[in-house]
Amino acid sequence: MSLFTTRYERASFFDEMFGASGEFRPHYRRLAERLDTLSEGEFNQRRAAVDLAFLRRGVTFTVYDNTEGTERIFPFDLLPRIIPAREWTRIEAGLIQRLTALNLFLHDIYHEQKILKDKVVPAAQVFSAKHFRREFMNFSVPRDVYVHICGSDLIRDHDGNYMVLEDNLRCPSGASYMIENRAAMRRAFPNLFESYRVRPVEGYAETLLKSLLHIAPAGCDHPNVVVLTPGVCNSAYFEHTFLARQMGVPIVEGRDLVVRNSCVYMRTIGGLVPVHVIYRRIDDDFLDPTVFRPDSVLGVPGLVGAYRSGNVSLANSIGTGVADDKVIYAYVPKMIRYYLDEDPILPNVKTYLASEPADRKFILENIGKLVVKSANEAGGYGMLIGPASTEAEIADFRAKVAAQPRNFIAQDPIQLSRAPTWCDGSLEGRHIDLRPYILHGEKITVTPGGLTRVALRRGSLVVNSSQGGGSKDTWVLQGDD
Amino acid sequence: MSGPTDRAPARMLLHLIHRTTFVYGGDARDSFNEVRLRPCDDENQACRQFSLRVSPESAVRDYTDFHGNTVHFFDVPEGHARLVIEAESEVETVPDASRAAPAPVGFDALAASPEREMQAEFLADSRYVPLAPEIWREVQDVLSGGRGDVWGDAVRLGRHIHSTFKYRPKTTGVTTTATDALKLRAGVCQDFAHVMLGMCRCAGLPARYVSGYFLNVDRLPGEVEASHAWVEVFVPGQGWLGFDPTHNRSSDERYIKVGVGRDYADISPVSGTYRGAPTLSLDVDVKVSQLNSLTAVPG
Repeated sequence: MSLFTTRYERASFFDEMFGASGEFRPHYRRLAERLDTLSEGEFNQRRAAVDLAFLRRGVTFTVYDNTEGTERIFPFDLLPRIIPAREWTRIEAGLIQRLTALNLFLHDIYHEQKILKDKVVPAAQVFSAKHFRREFMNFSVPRDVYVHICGSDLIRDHDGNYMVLEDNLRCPSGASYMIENRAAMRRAFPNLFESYRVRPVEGYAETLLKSLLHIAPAGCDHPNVVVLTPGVCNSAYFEHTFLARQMGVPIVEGRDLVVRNSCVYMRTIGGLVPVHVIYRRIDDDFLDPTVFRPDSVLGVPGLVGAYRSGNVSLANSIGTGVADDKVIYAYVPKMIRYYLDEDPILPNVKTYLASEPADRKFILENIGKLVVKSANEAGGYGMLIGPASTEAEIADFRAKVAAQPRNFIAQDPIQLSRAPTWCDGSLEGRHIDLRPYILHGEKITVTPGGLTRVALRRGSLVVNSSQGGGSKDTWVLQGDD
Repeated sequence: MSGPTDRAPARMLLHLIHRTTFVYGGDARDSFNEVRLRPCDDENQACRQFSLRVSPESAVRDYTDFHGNTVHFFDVPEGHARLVIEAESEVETVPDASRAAPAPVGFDALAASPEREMQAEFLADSRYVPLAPEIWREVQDVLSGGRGDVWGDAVRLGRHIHSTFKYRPKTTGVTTTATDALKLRAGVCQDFAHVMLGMCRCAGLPARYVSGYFLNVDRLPGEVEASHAWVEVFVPGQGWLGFDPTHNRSSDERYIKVGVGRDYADISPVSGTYRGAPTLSLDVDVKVSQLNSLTAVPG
C-alpha cells in the first residue's frame, strides 16, 4: 500500500508523519514499512473488524441537540499517532508543572487569595467566574488535592511546538476511549506492538483507583469507592460504566445514594452500605439540590454537608471549574511563575480577553481573523472560527461579545498539525489534537498516551466528537523511534 | 439628630424570635436544610445570645460562608408532618449618636482605595441584580445634577427609590429581580434593596445586600413584621455604611444585621429540600422587642 508518497498532500501544515522534505519521520518509519506490506483489501478488512468490535462492545457517545438519533460510535482511524520519548518527556513535565500550579491556585483562591491581593490575577475575573463556588470558601479539601483527574488539551502549531489549548478540571472524559482504542489496535496489528516498544495505557484505571483511595477519609480501613453518573442519557455514560467496571467498583445514580447524619450510604438489597469516596461525573450545579440548583433531580440531597463534615470525599472537588474558565486560562502561565517560580514548559495559545478594554477593541475589529470562544462552554459548543464563518455568523458573535464581554475570549487561529488519516479510500492529512490524562493521587502521573482527536471533515479545525471528530490510538514510545 | 452627646449613650438591647413553620400534607422525609439566622458581630452590634431549635429534633452543625455569615445546617431523615425552625437571639446595638457621621469622600478616593480590587463582586451584576440599561438610565436621571461624594450619592439614590416606589406587599415574589421591581415601581424591602444595589453598582458604588431585622415602631401600611433587608455602601476610610431605602434612613440602633451578600440569593434565611408530601403552609413569625427601657431615637 504505497499510498503515502504519491497521492498524499502535505500542504503547508506541520505533518506528524512527514518531515519538511517529504521523508518519514524516524518514529513513523516502521509503521510505514508495515503498512507497505498490506494490500488495500487487507487494510480495509482490519478497519471493518475494528469498527465492528466498537459496535459490539458498545463504545459510544451521545450527541445533544440532534434529531438523527443521539448515540454514536466514535469514529476510529486505524493509523496511530506516534510520539517519541523525547517529546513525551517534555509534555509530561509541562503537564505536571501545570497541574501543580492549578492546584495551588485553587487552594489559594479558596483560602488566603494571595494571588488576587498581589494583583497577579484580577479579583474581578475570579469573582465573576461562573464556577467560582463561594460556598467552599475556607474549606480544606482532603489532602489538599482539588483536581484528581485532569484532561488538558494540547495542540501543535505549524512548527510542531506543543501548546496548551485548554484545561479540563471538572469531569474530563475520554480516558475510556484511550483504553478501547489501544485494545482495538492490539487486535488489528499485534506484531507491530512487539517491535515498536509502545508504552501501555492500560494502567490508567488502577492508578485512578489508587488516586481515589488516597483521599479516603482518615480512619477508614476499607474505603468504599463508587462512580456517580447522571445516568444513561449522559454523553459519557459508556465511559462511566467502563471505568467502574475496570476499577471494580459500583456505579450509582443520585437516587441510589442517601445521606444520614452527614454520612453517605448506598442503597443495596442488603441494606445501606457506607460510601467513602465518590468519583462523581456530575457537575457541581447538580450535585446537591440543597446547596446548588434546587431543581436538580440528578444529585443527592445532603451530599455537600457530608463532604463538608469530612465523612465522604469527592473527586474532583467542588469549585474546580473556576480554574478551567477560559478567561482564567489566560493567567495560567502567570500562576506557574507566581507559585512555582518557574517558566512554563508548555506555552498557552495567545489569548485576548474581551473583558479588557484594549483586547475587546482588538477582538471586535479583527473578529473575522480570530477564534472566539465562550468562557464556560465545552465540547466545541458556542465558538466561532472567524476565517471559516459567514458574515452573518461573525456579526452575531460580534454582538454577543459586545454585550457580554466577560463571557468571551478570542485566540489567534492555530494551524493545527495534521496526521495522515484514512478518508474514503485514500490517505489525507487531517488536523489533530491530543488530550492526555493526568491523575493526582499521592503524586501526579501522566498516562503515557491519551486521546488523539481528529477533525474528519476536510479543512476543519474542530476535533470535538460532538462536532464530527474521530480519534486515533496514541503511541508513546519507550525510545525515539 | 437629637440624643445625648455629652456622655456615651447606653446600648440598646434587642430580643428576637424568628420561627419558621412548614406544614406538610402527609409525611415529609430526607429533609436537608441550611439557615442563615444568627445575627453577626461587627462594630455596631454584638450578638449576646443565640439558640437554634429544630423540631423534629436534629443535630445542627455550622460553618462560615464566603461573606463571613454563619450558616447552620441539619437534616431530618425520618418522616414528619411539620418542621419548625426557631431562632432566638439577644443583640446589643451601638446607638446612632455614638456612630461616626459619614464624612464626604470623593470618587478618586474610592478608585484609589486598596479594598477596591477585592470588591469587584459588589460592583458586578448578580442573580437578582442585573446591571440593565434601564437601571443605569434611572441613575442618570437621579444624578443629572452632577456627582457629589460617595455616601451622598448613595443616599440620593436610596431616597429616590423611597419617594418614587410604592411599598406594596404581594405584588412581588422571591423570583422578582431588580429590573422587574423597577418596572412595577413597587415591592417590599427586598425589592427596594435590590433596586438600590443595581443603581449603586451602575453608579460605580460598591454595594451589598443586608439581611436582618428592624425594630419597627412606625410601620408602613400593610407592612408585616418579618425579616428586613437594606443596603450597605462602601465608603473608603469608613467601611460599609447602611441605608434602608424602604424607610428612607441610615441604619441605626434599631437594625439588627444577620449577614451580607451580593443579593438575596446569597443570604436567604431558610433554604432546603425534602422528599414526600407537598407543603400545605409556610408560616414565618418574627418578633423583635426591646429588652432595656431606652426609647428609640426618632428617625
